[in-house]
Amino acid sequence: MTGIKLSNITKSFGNTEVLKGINLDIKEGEFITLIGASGSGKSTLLRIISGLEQQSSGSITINDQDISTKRPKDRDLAMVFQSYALYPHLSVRGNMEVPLRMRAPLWQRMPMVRKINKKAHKVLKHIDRRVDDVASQLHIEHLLDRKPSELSGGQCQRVALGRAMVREPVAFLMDEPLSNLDAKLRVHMRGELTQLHRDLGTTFVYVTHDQVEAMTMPDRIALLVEGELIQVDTPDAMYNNPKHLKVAEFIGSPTINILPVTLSNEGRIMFDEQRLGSIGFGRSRANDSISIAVRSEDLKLVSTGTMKAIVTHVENMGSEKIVYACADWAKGPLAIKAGSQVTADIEQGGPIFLAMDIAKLMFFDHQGQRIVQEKIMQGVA
Amino acid sequence: MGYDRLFSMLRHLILASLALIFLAPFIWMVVTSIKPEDEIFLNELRIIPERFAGYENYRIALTETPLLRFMLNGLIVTVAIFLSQVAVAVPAAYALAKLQFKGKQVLFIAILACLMIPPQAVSIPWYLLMYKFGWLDSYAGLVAPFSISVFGIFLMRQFFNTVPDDLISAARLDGYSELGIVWKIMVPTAIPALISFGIFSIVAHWNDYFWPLIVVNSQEMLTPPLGVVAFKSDEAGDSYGPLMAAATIIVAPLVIAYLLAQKRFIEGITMSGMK
Repeated sequence: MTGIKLSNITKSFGNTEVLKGINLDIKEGEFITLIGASGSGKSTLLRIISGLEQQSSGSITINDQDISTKRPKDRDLAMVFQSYALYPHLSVRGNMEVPLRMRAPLWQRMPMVRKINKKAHKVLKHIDRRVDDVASQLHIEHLLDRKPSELSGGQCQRVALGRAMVREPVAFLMDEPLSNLDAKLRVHMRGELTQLHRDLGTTFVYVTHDQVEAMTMPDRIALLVEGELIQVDTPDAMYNNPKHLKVAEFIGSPTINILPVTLSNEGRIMFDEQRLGSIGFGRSRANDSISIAVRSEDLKLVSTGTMKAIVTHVENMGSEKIVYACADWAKGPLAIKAGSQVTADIEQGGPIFLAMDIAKLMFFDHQGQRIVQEKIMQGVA
Repeated sequence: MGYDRLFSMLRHLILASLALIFLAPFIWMVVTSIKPEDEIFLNELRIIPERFAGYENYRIALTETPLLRFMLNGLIVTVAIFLSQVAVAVPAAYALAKLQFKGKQVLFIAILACLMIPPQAVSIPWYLLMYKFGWLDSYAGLVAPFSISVFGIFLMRQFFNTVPDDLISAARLDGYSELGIVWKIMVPTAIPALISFGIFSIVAHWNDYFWPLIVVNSQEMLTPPLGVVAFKSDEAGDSYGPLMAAATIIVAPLVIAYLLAQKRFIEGITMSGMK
């Protein structure tokens, strides 16, 4: 199998288990994001793939070749760091040359050899040309003679990308590369990175804690929670069909609304003694505590109804508004996304009435596992 | 006049007078070095001598004793000490700052403890060791005891601690060996620290009097401070003019080197540009 295959990767620091048996197949040419809260082990996993960190057990193969114990430089991977990690004493050109130069034989890199030896001259000239090509691809030709300290954050990030690109590695590993940029530039670079991935067709493994980055760029998302992969899926599936409550909570902004409910002894959903719609779970789940998750855009504002809430805060996003409300039956805050017309006369402290599209609700058991649709009996009156 | 300006003037006044106090002995040394014999001990404070005797004082200083030879000795010894200190301190500091190994903390505490040992306390064992090696009265004997600087290791470690780990990770992925990282990545980023350590080390060992006094006998091995003393007792007697001229010559390289390095030092800080 081509691509990167992680089998049963574990990592412990002392007594703390950071990664608990990660299995992941990254296809060749795929853009995959590893997302998770800080401390979830996502950066550690990336560093294990790169070889900077040694896994406690498990194996990594790239294109069917076991690289579990190889040194970082022999893995044919390139990495882009959050802090850019440019060599401060080298010019931009010098920085971008490094990965190629370090792979040329030592004697060819000696000063002056270039002038006497034809072969060394050819090799170094090839490096120069490659650096020029990559620089023009990233629009940083005019910066080649500058030092990193004279560059802005965005320019540094381009140089760091360039340094990774010159060698044409089998995969790019990116450790939160956009986190140090300002918000506007980050949005712009997201687009550029996706474009770059399309152009290069190389595997991208991208670590981030920002779910917007995780959603917008990749082919697939892998969500890590406390050292375990909870779900690996396309952004679409992660959003619309989460398999675990933690996935539903992590993906999407504003955070998905979670309504804790207790089922009746007939397995029906009860809100303050009131039955919700016509769905039931059968007697096997009688008196269970479950969670209903509903996206902010699936809660509808209606003129009147049984689900009353009090507005606590309104965020105006321009084209739409996010209404934060609280209600006793929800046992917590709610976020409702709605067009600005519907929300025109909503004000803080005022009452609103909500309706839910039952088909859009997602149910999770008390362990956070999704309750699959077949087990929900609809229309059982 | 604003309060700020008044304060700023006061500040400069205080700094200037302090500087004058610290500079006074040096000024006196230079002034004495250009005075004729009969003008040195006077009842009045005379800065500019009536008769300029600088030429003959400096001529005596340079010809009566092999002063240039002493300075060459000083140069060889200080440079050799500094280079070997760097050769040991940089890799050691890198290991202490950036590598993980068992006993790292203990080792570091042991190094800190070594900082507390005064060199005089270990001078007898060192002397015996040099004797056993047959290095007494030689460059090796002058250099060896100082070839490992605990202070240097400590200073470089503190500096390397501020170098981001990502930089080292990047270097490892780019194909640098560990030694390559030390000399090609860490050292260039640590130029300011190396320069300040260099100033410290070179000044200390150029001016060192204690250890050369113990280990050196023959005149051709004398270091500059010993040379001045030898000059006083043997050649000059009470002729303070030539003596001060010799002292000025010996101090001059340090002052010049410091002024040059000071410029580089500030440059070094601004160019490192890495937060």
